[in-house]
Amino acid sequence: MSDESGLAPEAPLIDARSPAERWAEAGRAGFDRLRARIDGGGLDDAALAWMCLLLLYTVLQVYSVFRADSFGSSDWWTRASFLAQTGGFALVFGSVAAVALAAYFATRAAELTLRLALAGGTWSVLSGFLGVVVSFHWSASAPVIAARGGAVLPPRSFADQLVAALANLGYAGLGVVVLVLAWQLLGTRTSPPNGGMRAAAP
Amino acid sequence: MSDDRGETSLERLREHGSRPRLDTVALVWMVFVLAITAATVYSALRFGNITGYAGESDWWLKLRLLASSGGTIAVFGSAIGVVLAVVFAGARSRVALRLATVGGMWAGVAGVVGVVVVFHNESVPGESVAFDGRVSDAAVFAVFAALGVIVATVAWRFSRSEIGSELG
Repeated sequence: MSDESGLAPEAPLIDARSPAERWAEAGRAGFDRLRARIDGGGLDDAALAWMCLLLLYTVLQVYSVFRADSFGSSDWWTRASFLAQTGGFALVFGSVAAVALAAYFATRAAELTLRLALAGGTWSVLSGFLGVVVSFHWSASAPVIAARGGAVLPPRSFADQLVAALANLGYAGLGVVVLVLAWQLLGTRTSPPNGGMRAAAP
Repeated sequence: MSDDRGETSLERLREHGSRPRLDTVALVWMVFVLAITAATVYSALRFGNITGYAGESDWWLKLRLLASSGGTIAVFGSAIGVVLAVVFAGARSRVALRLATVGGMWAGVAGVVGVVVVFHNESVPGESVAFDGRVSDAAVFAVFAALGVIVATVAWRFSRSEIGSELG
């Protein structure tokens, strides 16, 4: 007596898969579980909260630049050099993470996240170009963070100014990437799937 | 906030056929990440002291600053570059993956340099804030070196795999 598979019902089931196949299957199942959790876990709201906090952090940084007495100097170029740092690593990389998460959802929260990422990317571009201007305007009273590594490095030659400008330009460029990604993903939401084409009336 | 509007942005983006245009995004991203890293390397070699002002310059201190250039920006920037290149696969993605390999390798080398510097000179400022001591500082550099090697390996494999041939 046998079932549909041709095996006797009391026959033991033997896993004939190789260890590599078992690991691959286990990994695939784990990925499916992860995907299911992402789909149903409200992570679109988490992306929105992430982006809100990131922008709040940036706004606080900007506020502190205008409010604080930077190195005891009230020079506006000094303030500008610190203002240029507010659109750096944290904002750009944080915005990319939020965009990546929002791209996997079709909710209003995800759409709002992408719009906030647009704002973050725009500020990165603006602050990057401000940094470029500051790099070439350095004076003895205005320290410039040359490569945004955290140390105050006043450029001492034209080559130093060029490198400082390159670093700031780099962050502006990364901001452009954030802008393009968020814009493209938002564009697919606001335009119809068929590109606006309508079927001709009979 | 959880009203379902159908397909996700990524799915719709792929349907629109605009995916090939976005392969440039990964390449541009990696170019700028490497530009920032290069500027950090230049600053480390050019200034080589804590204040940045002209003064005593020690090569071990220069190497310490050089080691920091392979930190968060190089590692996480390259990792994001790999993800962008794979998600928005296109003609330029292979180049982006090669650049990510370079970024990851530099992070690995810089991390090893950091470990050497930590064990050579205790007076050099450490990377770890929470713990005091050579071992914890060396561990931080070693972790970044390992992350860099992982990023470089993944990027290299993607650029040479079947996915890579689809990209190219």
